[in-house]
Amino acid sequence: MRGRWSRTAAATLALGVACAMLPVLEDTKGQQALPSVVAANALRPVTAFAVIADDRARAIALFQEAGKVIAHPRCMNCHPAGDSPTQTERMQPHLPLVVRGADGHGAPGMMCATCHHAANYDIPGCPDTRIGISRRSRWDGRGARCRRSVSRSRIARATAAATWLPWFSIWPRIRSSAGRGRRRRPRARAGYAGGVRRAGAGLGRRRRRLPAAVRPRWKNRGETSMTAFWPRSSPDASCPDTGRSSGPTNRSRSPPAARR
Amino acid sequence: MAFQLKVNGQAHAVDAADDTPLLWVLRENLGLTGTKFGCGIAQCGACTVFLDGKPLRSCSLPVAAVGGAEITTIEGISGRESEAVQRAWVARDVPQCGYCQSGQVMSAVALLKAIRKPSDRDIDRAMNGNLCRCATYVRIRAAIHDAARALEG
Repeated sequence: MRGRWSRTAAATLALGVACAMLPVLEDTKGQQALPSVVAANALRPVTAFAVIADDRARAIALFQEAGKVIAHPRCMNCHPAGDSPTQTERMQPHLPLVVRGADGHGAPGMMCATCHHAANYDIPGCPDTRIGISRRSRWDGRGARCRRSVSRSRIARATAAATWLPWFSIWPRIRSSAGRGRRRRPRARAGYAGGVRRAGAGLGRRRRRLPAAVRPRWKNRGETSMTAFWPRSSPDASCPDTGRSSGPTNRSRSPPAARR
Repeated sequence: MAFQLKVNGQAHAVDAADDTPLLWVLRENLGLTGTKFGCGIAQCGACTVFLDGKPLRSCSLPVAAVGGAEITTIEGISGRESEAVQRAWVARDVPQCGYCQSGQVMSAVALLKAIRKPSDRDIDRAMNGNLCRCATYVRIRAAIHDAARALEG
């Protein structure tokens, strides 16, 4: 499985490099030059290709420009050749597992729209989020085939790329999922969560600094990783979620009376 | 900002920031604490609710995006599927710590609404987005089969 993803990533990289280089190669053949300095992720407008007089060369250049988008992980993540999407710019397997399903929207009960909403929020999304289902929209692994088709002078197919460019020009609308969103916490409990983190960090440091000789004495103080988190000032506070007692501080650390 | 939400069949007026996740509006503004916070990034399924009858991770949806959709939480689910699932959950004694179970139940109900007699594969695919640190997955799967059988009868 890992080899498959590696090969896919390598193919993507190779295609990306090829797409970036080929316009330069075309220029060296004596064609009319395009503006050569373009930002890595920027797309030239269709009008920029008007300077290429030769129809065939212009069609190829347009197709290669479109290839920047077609082969980008942010697009290929949802246009896989297989039945499961990938995620992040490294095209890792999607977690949790999602399958194409009957109509590309995922399996019943675990649809794409369960997590990906109609717009980019913390998690990337768009209206009708689904896995690219039609043969035409399965781009993964088809870059080499597309390049071959260009090299065989299938101009009509290459020219069609020009009609895609306006759509591709808005490709940044698919947000990168590299960050997997933000972990939002309730405002009321933000301080609590921070306190837990600090308590955990402090506990870790103290644990590391303790020499082995004094460790039994520390353990006898009865501070476990959990008791350090709970506020000692209000031992009888109840958890609002469950109504249960607030934690280990309520427990008697002495044995039950019957066992004494 | 003020929002009108339809939650469990009742209209609620809520004052919250636009980008407040629906989960926190349910828990903090409306006091519906049956829906749990697990990961905050739609990876664990503890926050699953129904939006117009379809399961959704409420931690990742801003309240401003809800609009007039009908929200159903674990407190408000009803119908044959949910009753069958609840009975099966009790009979199988599925929960261990119970924290993830409201999300598990919501996803199980959604699955049974879509597929009346799910196979193991259907269950695995539908439920793999709901994590359980107690690893009650075997009992969850058995309980879903039980609920499906109960719905048949």
